[in-house]
Amino acid sequence: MSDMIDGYAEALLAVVRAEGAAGVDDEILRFAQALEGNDELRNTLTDPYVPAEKRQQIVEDLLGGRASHVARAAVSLVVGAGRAAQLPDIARALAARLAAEKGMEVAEVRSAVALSDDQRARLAASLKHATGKDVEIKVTIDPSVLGGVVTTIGDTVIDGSVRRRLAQVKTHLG
Amino acid sequence: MIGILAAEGPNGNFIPGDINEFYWGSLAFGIILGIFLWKGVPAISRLMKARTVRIEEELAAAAAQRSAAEADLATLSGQLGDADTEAAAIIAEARTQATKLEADLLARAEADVADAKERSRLEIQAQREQALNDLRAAVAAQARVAADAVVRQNLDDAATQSALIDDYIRQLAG
Repeated sequence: MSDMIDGYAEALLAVVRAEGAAGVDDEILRFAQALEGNDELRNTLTDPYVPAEKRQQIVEDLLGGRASHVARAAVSLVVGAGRAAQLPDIARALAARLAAEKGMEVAEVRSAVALSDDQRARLAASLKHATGKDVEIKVTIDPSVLGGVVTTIGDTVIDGSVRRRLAQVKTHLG
Repeated sequence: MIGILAAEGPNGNFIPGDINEFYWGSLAFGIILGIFLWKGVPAISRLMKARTVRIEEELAAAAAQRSAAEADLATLSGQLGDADTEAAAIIAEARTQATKLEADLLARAEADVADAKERSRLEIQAQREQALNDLRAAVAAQARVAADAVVRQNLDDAATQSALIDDYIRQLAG
């Protein structure tokens, strides 16, 4: 991870600590994942010919009323600085730091539908059983998963999605 | 004879007429005969010898010419014989070449026919395999589309989605 990403993560961590806003890292991470999955949004927010004010206004339009003012300010800061392309890595670094403070690791969970609280708890327990680590689950709704779950912990990906199984079936069919 | 002639003579001598004429005539005859024998016979002898030598030379020349002609004839006969032999050899060689050429042409034609047959067989085989591959690809594509549609259709309800997540959690828990 580059010093630049670490620097932004540390700065955002300081803001979160100062503001004491819970769930900010979740909000930033969800926006970052939405940015990864939307080419048009990513191209617009990473376009250096689009003025910073215009990019920040887009962030406000998208997050206004859906995220805390701390999360909006943090994302706006990164996008305005021309680092929208690095926002996913910055968000993951922030989440990892916050989880590390609790002795945990971040587990990014992608699912086609939202997980119930019971499912989140059982999934955390199962991941601990499987990896030996306490994990903080960050769920992202991703329709491309089709069904099931894809979990990413650090460099480890545990893919139990229907998308993967369907791809295997299609490969088998030739 | 002379006695008969003399008995028949009118003067009673064996020579009619004047006996002096006989003497003088005989003397003249003897002189002419002597001159003839003294001068004429040797000349005639020389002429005959020269003629004999000339004839012998001519005969020798004729014999030499004949020998030469016979030698030429033998040479020509030999050459004619050689020419016949050479002509026969040329004809035999031509026949051999013609036979070989015919065999070569026949072999080449047979090889060409065999090659054409093999190419046709391979082409037909390739076309058959291509058709089978196209058919397999078309069937596989249809199967992929059908599998995709069936899977997506069966993932519409929330219970199925929840069950897939629960399966994933159970598999992680081992």
